[in-house]
Amino acid sequence: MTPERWRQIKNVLDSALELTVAERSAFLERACASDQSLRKEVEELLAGGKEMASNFLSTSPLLHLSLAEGTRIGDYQVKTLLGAGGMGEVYRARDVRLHRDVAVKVLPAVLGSDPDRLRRFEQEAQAAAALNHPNILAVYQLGEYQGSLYLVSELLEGETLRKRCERGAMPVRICVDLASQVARGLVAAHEKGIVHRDLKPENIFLTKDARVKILDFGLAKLKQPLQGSETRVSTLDKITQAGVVMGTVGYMSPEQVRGQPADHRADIFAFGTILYEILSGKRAFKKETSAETMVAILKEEPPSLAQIVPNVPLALLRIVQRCLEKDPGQRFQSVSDLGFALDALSDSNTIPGQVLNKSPGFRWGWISASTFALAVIAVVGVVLASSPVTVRYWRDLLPWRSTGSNPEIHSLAVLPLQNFSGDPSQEYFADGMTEELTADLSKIGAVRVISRTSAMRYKEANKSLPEIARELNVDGIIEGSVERSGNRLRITAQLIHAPSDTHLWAETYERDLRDVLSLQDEVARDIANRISIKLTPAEETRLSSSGAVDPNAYQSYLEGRYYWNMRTEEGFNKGIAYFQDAIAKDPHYALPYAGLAQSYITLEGYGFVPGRQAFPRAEAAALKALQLDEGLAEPHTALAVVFAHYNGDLVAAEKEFRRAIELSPNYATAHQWYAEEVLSQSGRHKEAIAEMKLALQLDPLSVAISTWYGAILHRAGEDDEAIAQLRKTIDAGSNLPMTHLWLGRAYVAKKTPGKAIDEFQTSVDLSRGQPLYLASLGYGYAVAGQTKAAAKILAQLTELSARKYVPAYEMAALCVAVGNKDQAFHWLRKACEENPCSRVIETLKSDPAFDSLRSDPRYADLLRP
Amino acid sequence: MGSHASSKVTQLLSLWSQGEASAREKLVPLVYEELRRLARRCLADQSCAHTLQSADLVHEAYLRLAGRASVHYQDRIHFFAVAARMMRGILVDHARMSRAAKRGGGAITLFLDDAIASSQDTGVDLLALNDALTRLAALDARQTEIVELRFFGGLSIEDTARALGISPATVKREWATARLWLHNALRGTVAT
Repeated sequence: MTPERWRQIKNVLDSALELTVAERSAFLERACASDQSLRKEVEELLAGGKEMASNFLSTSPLLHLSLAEGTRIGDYQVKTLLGAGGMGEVYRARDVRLHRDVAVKVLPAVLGSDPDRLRRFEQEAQAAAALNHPNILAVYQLGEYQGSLYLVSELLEGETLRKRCERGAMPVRICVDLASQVARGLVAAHEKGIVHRDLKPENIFLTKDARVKILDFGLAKLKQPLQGSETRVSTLDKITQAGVVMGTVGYMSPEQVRGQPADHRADIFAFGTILYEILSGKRAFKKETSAETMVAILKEEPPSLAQIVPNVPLALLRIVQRCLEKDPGQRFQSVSDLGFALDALSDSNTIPGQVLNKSPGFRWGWISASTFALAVIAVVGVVLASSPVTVRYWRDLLPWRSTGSNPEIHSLAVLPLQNFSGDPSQEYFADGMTEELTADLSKIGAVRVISRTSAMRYKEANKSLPEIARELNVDGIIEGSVERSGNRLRITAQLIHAPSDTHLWAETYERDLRDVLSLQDEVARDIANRISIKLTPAEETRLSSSGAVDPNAYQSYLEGRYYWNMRTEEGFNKGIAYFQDAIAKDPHYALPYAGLAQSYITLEGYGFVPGRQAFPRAEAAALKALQLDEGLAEPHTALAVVFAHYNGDLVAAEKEFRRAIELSPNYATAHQWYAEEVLSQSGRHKEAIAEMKLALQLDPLSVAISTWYGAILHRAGEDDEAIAQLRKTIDAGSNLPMTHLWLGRAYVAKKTPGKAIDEFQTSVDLSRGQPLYLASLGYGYAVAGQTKAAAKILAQLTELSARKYVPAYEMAALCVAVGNKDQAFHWLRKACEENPCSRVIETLKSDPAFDSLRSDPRYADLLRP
Repeated sequence: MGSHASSKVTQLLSLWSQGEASAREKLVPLVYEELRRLARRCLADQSCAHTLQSADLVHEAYLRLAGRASVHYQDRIHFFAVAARMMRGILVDHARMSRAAKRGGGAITLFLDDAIASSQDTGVDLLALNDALTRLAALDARQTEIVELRFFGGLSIEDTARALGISPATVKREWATARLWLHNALRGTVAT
């Protein structure tokens, strides 16, 4: 609409509004005779007017106001209002000296002159500031601004437990994790003689990286005087001793309801009510009025938790029950005891699902013999029946803050980052980020980084971190989450020293999706710094060279990786489509070209397309990727395979492999393919085996690497070892047809064709009759003298070749084995079309399967250039 | 705010009426600060915190800043014009923030009883209204001003007319059509 048009409409509308509804139609007929769309627009507005409330825009809005952006409060510059309530306004503000964002809570001016509220506010600040614990909000400063008091604290992002509760009950394992974090904070506070006294879901904050922070020690009563503040304590004591009922009805302990003195066990009661609520989604004590609620707290048991939530482990029910004892003497006597019970619970297998965010490293303090006995009898005993609980004696309450040098970390695994986007379709994104972070860390030479395939195994696994670390043979574990919201990206990462189960480092990063590549570099650099690795200048460069990327291109790239990793024909093809899509969106983005190159190579390697179709494309894509970013290991690796496998230029291939390994020493695939394509092919078997062992160390759970390790042993003539290795691979759960194929080949070499046939048959079954494996099965039959069966398969494949790609070289070998020389030469010529002939001949020359052809004149023809 | 600031406001208003544009610029932060201060005081007093209307606040601010002095009627209107415009900005910022908070997008805070202030209750989605007003401004700037004065500043037809130097009849007509347009815009039915 244009201003002129609106003026026109307004004119007609003005007049129409002066008329009665009955008169309007005729008027509009006349006024808009030459412009029916004008009439339509006016009528629409008039029609809307009929539904318009008579007071539309006549009552001005209600409001709360806030400090203007940019207002300076002490050293803090106000950015935005985060919330407001009876105790003041809270702003996000910038600490201009320390260059960080903080939360500033400003007590309203009038409140500032209310002595009681003022005192409570100061009390909150002092009590909280005395506490320094990851599960308690960190308070930095208390100050005065234009007659108002303000409190500066760390800025948290996330939501209160109250908000979270509004969305219903939470899974048991998450409840246990939350509860044990709350318990840790309380332990620290109680140790300092500070009782919260108003614990409730509103005062418990869940940060976006699933950390729990206890807020608002504003009502905390100082149980014991802190140094130098005795006078204050006496004042504070008056408040609580006066019998004033403080705390929030519903979470208050019976003793608080009665106005009796309440100690730390009041917090344990409140803790119980909260645990009850998060497990059940219902408040433990909730009646129509506060008076009735108070009566319930004093006299009633909450509705049976077991009936509301059937899957709550018995041990957990007992923990809740014990917290909610009316008599403080019957409750847990300390939060340490309570924490110990929770810890035991999450150590055991009684909780369904993976124990999420079970922050490692927490120790429940010294556990006295009597406490231990009590806990075991009362709570843990039930759990113990099924699993052993390690009794933990710890020297330090907070080992990750304890003095002493950092534990050394020489090897790392990045566990699959969790998808926190709340959208399962974003799973590929989290997986992709995991892979990219792994790739980035792999660039650091001084630390061994476990490859993606091995770490991904733990995506759904229900195993503890030390257990995972043991299996992967690493001393450091990175875990974290990815949350994507539009074009914003948030990554949390934490580093855990596995042998001691301690938390070394945690960080949250938030960026524009466009900067995702540099963000990955930053995370990798931070981790390197944290484990005190000195990066070489070249590594520094490699970890800081990433520029901006089109977020859409990045997304397509990750989707491509996701499909590529499926290692199926469909997966490869879909992967290629996504990589091409990523390139279309951002032609200067190098990684999708590398992905494309790898896709073509694996398509050939898995026998889905002929070499001539795959390798030139792989080469072009790899070269393009390198042109855009010479520092990427993946395209160098791909190029090396093209050189070795297709061009037969092992010297050039070796150079590329070495460059790739130099760039990314932890890149398992580079080591694997170097062993297969160069070392093993050129008869350097010992080196090949050593290289493959290295690859396996970097990717211990990769069945592909494990399989190819067997393959190169077979090629080295070490068939017993090859068989052992391949058997081991199968026992470890490999269902790759390739594993059985190589095992079959090793059995052929060992002259046990019966066993070979079994393996070939399995590979055919697993691949659902893919020609590569079928040809091998036919070959196995022929070698075993079952010519009929072999011929049958040959016929089947010949027929299949009319509509599907059938690897020619394998067909030729099968033809020779069944004695059909004519066809053998036909397939060899075809093999020469599929791949450079020189490559085919080279393989042919040393392949005993073709020995019977060598006297044939056509063989000499074939060799002639 | 002390009497010094109060007389300063009176002076600025007077200067503005005499055509000194810079007076308006100087007035803005004073008015803003007063609005905010009042609101905070109001917040502290739980009884009014949740029932305060922006128009009341504007009037209150006026009384505190200039009420005791003998202010020319025209100056008073100017004050409201400034305050109403600011009200719109303040409220919209606020609505945007609390929406973000509700979505879980913003940083939400501690200490407080989770009572994120809300400014609905007038049955109008402030953010949508703000967007619609911005679009209306492109079609008719004066209509937008009328809506600001009437809705956010709580000015009567007559005062609005005086503030804008037009006749009350014009204000009435423009107000009527602007309401219709906005109503439809908020239903998403007006083509732009």
